[in-house]
Amino acid sequence: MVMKRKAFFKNLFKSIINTRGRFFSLMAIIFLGVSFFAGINATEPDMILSADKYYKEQNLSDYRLISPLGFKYEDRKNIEEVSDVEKVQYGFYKDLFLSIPSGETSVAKILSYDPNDYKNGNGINIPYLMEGRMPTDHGEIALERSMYGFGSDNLSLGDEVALTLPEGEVIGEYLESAKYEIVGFISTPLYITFERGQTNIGDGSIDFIGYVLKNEFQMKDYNEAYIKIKNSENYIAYTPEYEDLVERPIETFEKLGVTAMARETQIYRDELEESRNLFLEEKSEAESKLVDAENQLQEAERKIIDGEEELKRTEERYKLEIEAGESQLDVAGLQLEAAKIKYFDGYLQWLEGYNEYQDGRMDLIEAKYRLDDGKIRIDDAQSDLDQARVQLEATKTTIDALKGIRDGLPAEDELPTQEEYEQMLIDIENTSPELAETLRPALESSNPENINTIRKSLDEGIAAMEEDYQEGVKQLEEGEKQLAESKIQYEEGMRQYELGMAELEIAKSKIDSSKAELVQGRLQLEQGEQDLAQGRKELEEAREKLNTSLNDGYADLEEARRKLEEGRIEFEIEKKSALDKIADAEIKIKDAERKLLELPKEWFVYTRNGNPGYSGYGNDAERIGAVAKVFPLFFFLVAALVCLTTMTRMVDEERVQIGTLKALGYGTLIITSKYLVYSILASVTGAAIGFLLGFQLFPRLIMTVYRGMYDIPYMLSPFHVDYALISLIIAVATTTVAALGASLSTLKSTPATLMQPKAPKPGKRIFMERIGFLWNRMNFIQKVTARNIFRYKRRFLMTVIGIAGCSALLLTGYGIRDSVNAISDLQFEEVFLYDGVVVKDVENTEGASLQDVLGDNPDIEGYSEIYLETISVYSEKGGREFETSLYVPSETNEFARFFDLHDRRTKEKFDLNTQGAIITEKLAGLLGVEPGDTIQYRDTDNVTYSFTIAAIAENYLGHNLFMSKEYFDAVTLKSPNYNGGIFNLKDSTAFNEESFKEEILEQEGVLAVSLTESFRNEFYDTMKSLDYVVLILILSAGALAFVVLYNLTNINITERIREIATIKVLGFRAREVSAYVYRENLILSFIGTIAGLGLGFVLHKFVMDTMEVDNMMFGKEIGALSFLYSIVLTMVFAVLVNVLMYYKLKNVNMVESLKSVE
Amino acid sequence: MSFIKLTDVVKKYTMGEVVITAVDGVSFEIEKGEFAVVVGASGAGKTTVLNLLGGMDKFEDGSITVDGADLSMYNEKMLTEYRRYDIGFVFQFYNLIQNLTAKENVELATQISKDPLNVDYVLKMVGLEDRRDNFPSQMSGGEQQRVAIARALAKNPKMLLCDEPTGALDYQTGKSILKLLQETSKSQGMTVVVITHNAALTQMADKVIKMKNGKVVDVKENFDPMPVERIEW
Repeated sequence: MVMKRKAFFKNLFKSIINTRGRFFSLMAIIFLGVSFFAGINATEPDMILSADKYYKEQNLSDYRLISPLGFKYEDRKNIEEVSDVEKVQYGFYKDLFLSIPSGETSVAKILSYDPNDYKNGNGINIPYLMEGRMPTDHGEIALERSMYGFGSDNLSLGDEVALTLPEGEVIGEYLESAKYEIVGFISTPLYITFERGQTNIGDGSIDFIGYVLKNEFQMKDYNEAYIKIKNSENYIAYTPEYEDLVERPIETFEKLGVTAMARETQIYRDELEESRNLFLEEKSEAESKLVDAENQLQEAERKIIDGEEELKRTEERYKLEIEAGESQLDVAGLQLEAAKIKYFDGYLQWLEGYNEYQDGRMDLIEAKYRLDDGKIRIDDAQSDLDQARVQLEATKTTIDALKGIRDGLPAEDELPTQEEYEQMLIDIENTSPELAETLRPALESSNPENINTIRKSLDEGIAAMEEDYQEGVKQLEEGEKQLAESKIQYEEGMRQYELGMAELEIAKSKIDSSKAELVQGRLQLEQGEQDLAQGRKELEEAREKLNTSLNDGYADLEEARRKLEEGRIEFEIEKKSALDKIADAEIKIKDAERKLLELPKEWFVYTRNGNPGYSGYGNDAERIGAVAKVFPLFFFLVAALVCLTTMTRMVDEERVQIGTLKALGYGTLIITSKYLVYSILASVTGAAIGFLLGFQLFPRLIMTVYRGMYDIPYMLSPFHVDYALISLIIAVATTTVAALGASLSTLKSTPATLMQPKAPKPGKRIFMERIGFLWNRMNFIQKVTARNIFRYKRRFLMTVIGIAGCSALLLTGYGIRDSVNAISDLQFEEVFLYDGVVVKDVENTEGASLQDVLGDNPDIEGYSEIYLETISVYSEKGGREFETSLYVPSETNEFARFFDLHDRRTKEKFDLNTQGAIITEKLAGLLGVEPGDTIQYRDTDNVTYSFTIAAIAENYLGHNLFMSKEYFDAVTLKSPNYNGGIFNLKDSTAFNEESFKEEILEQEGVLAVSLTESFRNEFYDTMKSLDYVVLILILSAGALAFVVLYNLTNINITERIREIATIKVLGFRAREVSAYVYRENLILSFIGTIAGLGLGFVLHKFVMDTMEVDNMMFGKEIGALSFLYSIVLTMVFAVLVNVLMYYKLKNVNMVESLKSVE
Repeated sequence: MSFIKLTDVVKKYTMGEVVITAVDGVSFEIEKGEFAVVVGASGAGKTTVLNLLGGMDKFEDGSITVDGADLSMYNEKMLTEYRRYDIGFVFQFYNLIQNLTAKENVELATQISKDPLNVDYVLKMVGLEDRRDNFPSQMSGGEQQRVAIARALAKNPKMLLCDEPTGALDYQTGKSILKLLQETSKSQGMTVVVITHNAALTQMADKVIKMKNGKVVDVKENFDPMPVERIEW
């Protein structure tokens, strides 16, 4: 027996060593299947265990009770007395604005920290310290690092943060200080996700959690109570057992809360009633005072009006009198004017007379002159006449003398002597020099003839002179006649002159008398003028006096009126302030009334499920569990198929040996046991390595991915006996059943048959050959390939399934990446068109306007005012509530510039209308609602509203609700109080994010600014860890492809080794030989790949549907490139295996293979 | 010079630590067109000689020249080419491709030949024109061997190497196969080398090479070979 055993084992180990390729590939496929199965199945419990460790280490409370009005002594006692309660720890909390040094303001929930609570590792909800320390002194804060932005990345220990409250609240009422220094960074199991619940300040969502010392809080009563339930530490979080235990006292707490709130509310209500009465009293008193004051004012006004009227009457009267005096003066003036005219008329008459007189006198003087002139001329004429008479006498003498000379002349023929001649000439000359002159030349020469000439000349001269003489006498007579006439005329003129002189004398006396009259009249006129001027002056004086007194009167009146106006303004101011005071008081009372109404009727009783992220984490773990149920099974299926093929082949190969052993008389058991042990060895080793590695690899990998979303510092991956056993059993069962089946079926045959080589599978025609046109077109090699493919159906199936698995995994991996990337790509490129959002403090009335903040910023291309609020949307039909961002734009038309709301499939665009709101796809899916349905939301003030869904828009990240302001109005009956601005940036390469943010945050009243791009990058970083998932899937796929192909090609080659040897002998070149084999492989791989794409598509959808988290919608589509990658990578894996097998093919020994069967 | 000439050919196999000398200094010559029979008991090394002659294996020492070419100088690639163009093999177990019909099996060979014979003509020559579309599993052993011969012939090789071609056949069928080979040799002038343990077949050969323990013990030329029909064994 011993020898037999020894031989048996020897044989076994030899066959393992001889077929080590097969053994290891069998091990590998089991390893792959098991590690996947065990690893992914272990992820859900590992996630739960890691979280549970965190919760237990930090002693996470089982209950968190919040009382809006504080826990009174009575309440505390009641809580502590509940039987399931082990320990209660009280604290304060307050939601405030927190500003960090870089200027961002976010909403923080500040919790109280009492070091005494936490002594010796005691205490509930111990903060998990990551850096620094917890606060030990005033003014210190330990801050939880926000996982999502808000500038927290830049915070470091020692930085100072400032806490502020909305307008109307005073920080001093809540906290001792407003500035805190960061001394530590913490995590807390209370908040394991970036969601930190809602609040009623800011945009309604909490961004930070911070701890300050408990005695910093100035509030009277604790408003928070953490409760530890007895025995809860013995259960694992999320398990039904834990839930059942913790649920037990919930009703008790709720009842306590209802009672306490009713009591406290009643106190409140009484106080309110009291102050309301007081207010009403004060109000009516103030109102009557106001009426009195108003009456007084009216009296004063009436007096002023009376005084004014009297003054006007007096003015009228005096004005009339003055006007009468004025008209009298005017009459006198007119008379004076008439007298003046008369005087001037007289004066003119006088002047005319005087002129006439002067003319007359002048005429007379002129006549006298003429008369005198005439007298002179007369006298002159008398003398002229006398002279002419004398001359005439002289002429008579001359003539007579001359006549004597001529007569004294010798006779004709007798010649005078010279003396005689000379004498004669002298004689002539004495008498008539002129004649002498004429004669002189002739007398020069003593010519006897001259006597005749002289004679003749003398004669001539005497004749001329006689004629002149005669003429002169005549003229003289004429002159004497004229003179006499002139003398008469003169005499007449003299007489007339004498007459004129007398008349003139009379006129002169007349003129002189009227002149005297005129002088008299002039004097009278001057007197009259003087009198008139005097009268006017007096009148003017009287008028002036009147005006002065009138002005005085009016000024007095004005003064009175001004005083009245002042009084009235004063009254108005006082009235307004009084009314304001009343209104304020009224608002306060209304506020108090509203607050009273808003006061919950009970405490907020939260189990851990109320902690943000707590149940989400559980759900996510559960989802992984769901994936684990399906995904790895697929791996297992492939592994089982491969095992089956491999073991069958092994048994087939050793058929002759089996026959021999059987012939030798070995029993079925011992023959079979070889294959059983072989397969068990391979599967147990493979499975053991598989779950040992799988338990570590997959849970850690997936938890790393989830760290992007959940803040769980622990990562446990313990050994899970159950999954180890299950996977081991499945693995061993699969392989041994395959081995058993194959060996038993072989053992059925007789040893003789077994020792014959197994009849080769007969060749036969394939279906394709009947399709003549196709078959005839194929070349010989293609025909051979086609026939081979269909000849080995099992191999065909194996390869196709294995390769399909590979490409399905690849496609799933790439698809996951596509789906996740789609979130950021589609979300930020096709839905969020805006580049950033600014949140303002609407309570800060001095804040800069949006135009100042955004409109004047040079980097901003456009902006729109918007109302932002974080709300909870739910359906009355039941189910969960979902934190949702509400957007109400002020300019409905502008909105499309910032948000592209459209249907995911049809791409149909939606506009905000007045009929309903637009909600995002994921939210609609979670609530199970359609357009036209009515759902509800609760705002930050705990008021609920119902609204109708108008459309469902594509969206991937978070939940959004969009309403037009009209619809918001209709739903909430209030106008949106725009608290934000949404904006687009200009396309600019020079854009500097830091300075841009700084510039905006500098403005008064700006709480925060966030840029889509940085949000996108943060999100991208978070999701980057998913790349590991993709990588692991690709590696798994590669491993799967490799193992499957290696196995199958290996089997293929061994099964067909004679065939291969034959064609080698025939002279097929190495390349042709491999082509002969590989062509089939590649075609099968290709068919497998295509089938795998279909499978991958389904798998991807399944994985995405199960893995999807609440506040994200993964992309539904797989990119074309991913299909391509999957195909190419699968083919690459296939080719790689084939390349490896090439050497095996090359080394097929023709001689050995063709040897006749031993 | 002879068409085929082996000179002091040595071939050793290493089986773990044991070295077996399968062929130990074999020398013989075969002329073109001869029908040669290599005869010897099991393990005499005759198959090894045939394998070496067919370029399926390498040898350590000596030389083999075929039609003037020295095989000892050939590398793997050249041996493949040599098999491809110069050699036609016929095996004891036919080694047909099960998935191919008779005609296709022949075509498999003609696909890679330089100057192949017409497939239908060859099939007619071996008397299988009616079975051309049958798969090996649908044919008798003799028919299968005829297909194998047709496959070897269709390549139009320089010589035909047959390893126990009748080993798996019954007497009559074996005879008809041998007849086919002999006729082919005569009519085509084909050099045919047949390996057999059946000494009776020596009568039909032009040349008989007797081997024992890896050595040639006798080479005898037969100037009047007997037609196969007349040989009994």
